[in-house]
Formats: sequence, structure tokens, C-alpha cells
Amino acid sequence: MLPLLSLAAATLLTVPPRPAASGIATTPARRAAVAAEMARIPAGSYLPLYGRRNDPRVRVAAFALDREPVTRGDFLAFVRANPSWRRGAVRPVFAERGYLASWRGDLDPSTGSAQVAGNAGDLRRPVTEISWYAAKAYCAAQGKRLPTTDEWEYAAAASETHADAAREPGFVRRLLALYAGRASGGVLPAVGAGFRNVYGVRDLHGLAWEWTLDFNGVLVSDDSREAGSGVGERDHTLFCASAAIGATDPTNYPGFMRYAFRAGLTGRSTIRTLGFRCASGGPAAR
Amino acid sequence: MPRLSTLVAAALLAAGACTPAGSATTVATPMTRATAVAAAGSDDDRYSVYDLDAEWRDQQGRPRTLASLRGRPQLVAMIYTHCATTCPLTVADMKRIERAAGAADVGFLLVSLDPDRDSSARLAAFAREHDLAPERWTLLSGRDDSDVRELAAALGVRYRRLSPDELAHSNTLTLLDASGEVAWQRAGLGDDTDVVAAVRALQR
Repeated sequence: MLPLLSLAAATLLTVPPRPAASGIATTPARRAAVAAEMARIPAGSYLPLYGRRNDPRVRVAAFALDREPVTRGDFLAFVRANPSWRRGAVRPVFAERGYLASWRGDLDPSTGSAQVAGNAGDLRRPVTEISWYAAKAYCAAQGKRLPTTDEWEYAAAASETHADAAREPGFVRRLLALYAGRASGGVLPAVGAGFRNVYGVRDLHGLAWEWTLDFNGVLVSDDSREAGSGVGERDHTLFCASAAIGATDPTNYPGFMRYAFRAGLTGRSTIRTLGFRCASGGPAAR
Repeated sequence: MPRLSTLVAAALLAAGACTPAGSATTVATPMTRATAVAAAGSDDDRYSVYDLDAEWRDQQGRPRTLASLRGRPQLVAMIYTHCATTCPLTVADMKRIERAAGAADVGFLLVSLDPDRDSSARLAAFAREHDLAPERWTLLSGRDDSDVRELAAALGVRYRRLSPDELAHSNTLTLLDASGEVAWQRAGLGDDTDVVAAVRALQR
């Protein structure tokens, strides 16, 4: 494990973090902690849902990715240090009114739900009801960034044993079952219970949807403002029709679901089943 | 079975891909649509784009914030100057709107999607080439892709880099009121009579 960790730390060193509001010191101890919470994802390629015909596989450079989604407890620490991101203070341009709506207070992420074992249980649940701007600011404050869609999809194509399992029928069936279970509502469980993929990353599929840096890079549908928080009729027309006819891999239904979901988002969207995790290293995201 | 490439090409065309001239010739699109946002919006739709506090540079090389545009309505598009296909049409559309708006006090704002290549000098050359009067037209380039993406997210503009030279982007045209709230928006190219009405409505 150690060589992997030091590699991740080396990656972090090569990318000077953007100056963040909270100015986290990049001490050796901090770097070690960051390395422990992140998995090193080696360079490689994957087959995106909408590839270019002559060169369908997309190259992804090595980067580091949080092993688990950001929790309510993590985000509480962030809003404590950054008052402008508290629910009562956030600028309207950065988030809809659903921002952190289930929190009992600006600094109280508990929900009082009977399904959660006390406040400590709430702190370990993924933070959701979070806008893209807020997720981006959180990652910047950690000296990290959001993963690009390519990075996220590439990492999420891995099963416990294979880096590229996206086209394995068993894996696809499992993801569909996970997504279906997720859609049934209720309180999201704590992070860390999902399967651990070959890179050591958990919960990419089982828990919640996740923001990506370039979520608004999907051009299959031009505009999705009809959709309050999901996928509008126009998206279904354009997206599903095109999907059924000619994506690179018509059996990749979990991929269709993720792309359709992203296509319905704006930067201000705050959705109960949408969280995030951070990445670092790699080339500057374009 | 229809080919993937046809569908993807159609989708990209509808979204206004700036592909090299020749590969994309049609701009008529079923996506064209205008929305009077303010009329239909709930309170939750009310926010000022000028609350984004990134620093930009204009065509004169001066540092600018979006908040410096406060005070009169602005018609906004995100383009890039190397774009050969739809961006010149977007600018032509905006110039037509400028003429139709007559003496109305409205500004015109072009923000680059390509901050690395669109320097202030490049924006100035573009403004000269297209005869964009500096009293009315502001051309901005960002520090990096992060700031550009934040503004794109606020305006609902979708874009992605296809190659080092090429970007695909939606042809969204947005009218901001004097305080930076979205007053009118159109996805795609096309009819612009109602934007002139929207501009006039903001003058009252």
C-alpha cells in the first residue's frame, strides 16, 4: 500500500492547489492525510458513452480520487470555516433553495431521522442537496478539485477485480440493481459500505449521483431547464432516441442513466440524491 | 439502423458545434427557443450572475468583474474567436439586435470560452474586425477554464473541448437586466424579435 500512497502524494505535490479561502497548509502531515483519503488512479483509457467514431476510446491521465464521497461531517467542517457557504448565507447564484435543506440548522447536519443512529450516523452520510458551485468550492478548500466526467467515468468502470468492467454483463446488472435500489427513496446510508473497486475507491455507484467538474459538457441535449431536477421531455426525445440507436455501447444502460442525469442539471441544482467527491493531480482540467 | 455518427452529428449541430467550416453547414435547428424567464420564474430562479466574483480582462486589457457591468441590461453570449461556424452568426445576430434596439440603453457582452487563446489583443482584433463599438460592446476573457465554466454554469451554457483547436458549445443568448438577473434567454440561433421587445421592456 505504501508505494501507492507515496505516489499519490507525489502527484499532489506537482499540482499547486489554487489559493483557497481557508488556506489549508500543505504540511507533510496534511499531504500524508490527503494521500490516505485518496486512491491513485493510473493512466489508461475508457470507452465513453458518446465517443468519436474514428477514435472512440478516451485517454485519461493518472490522477488521485477520494476513496469515499464527501460526508455531511466533512461539509460541516467546511461551512464552519467558510461562513459564506452556510445555508443561510449562500448567494442565490450558487445554489437553489434546496441547498442543505434537510439540515436542522446552518451548523447542524443532523436530520433527526429515525432511520439514522443518532447524530454521529448523520455525520457519516454523504452530503447531498449540494450545488456544483458548493462542491467545487469545497474541493478547492482542500487543495483539490472536482473530477472531470472522463476521470469519474473511467474510475467508475472498475469492478473489485477489473479496471474495465463496464461491458461485463454481470457488472452492468449489478449497477442497474444498485441504481434502482437508490431510487426507492429513504435516507441515504453512511459512506464506505459499497463495494471497493480495484483502485480502492468505494460508493461510486451504490450511494448517490456525483457532480463532475464538466457536468455541463454534455451536448447531447442543448438545454434542460424544463426539468426541475431530473430529465426533461426534450432530453428523453433527444437523449434516449440517440442512445438506443447509436451510442458506443448500447448495453451500457447505467452509463445512459448517468449521462441523462447530468444533462438535466444546472450549476445551482440541489438534489437529495446528488453528492460529490474530490480529485487531484492530472493535467489541468480542460 | 441509422448510424451513430449521424445522430451525434445532429445532436452536436443542434447544440452548435463550432466545427471547421464545411463539416457543419446547417444551423437551422429545432432547438431554437426563447424563454421569458422573469415572467414565469419563481423566487428560486432569482439570482444575479454578477455575484460571481472572478476577475476577467476586457478587450482593452483592463481587469474587470462582471459586477462592473451593472447599471444597464446586457445581452450575453459565450463564444471563442477561432470559431469558424456559429460564433460569427451569433455575433451577427447580436448586431442585428443592436440595430433593432435603436437608442435603447443596452450593452452587448461576449465572453470567451477559450481563455488560453483569446488574449485581450485577440479580443480587440475581433472587435475591430466585427465593428463592435466599445461604448456598447464588452469582450471578456477569463483567467482560466474554471472561471469560464462557472459563468457557463450560471448562464446554462454547455460546452466541451473537442480538440486543442475546437470547442462545441450551445448557442445560448441571454439578456441580463441591469442587476444581472436573467430576463430572457434563447437556446439556439434564430428569430430575435422578442428579444428586442424584452430589451424595451427593461427600459421602462
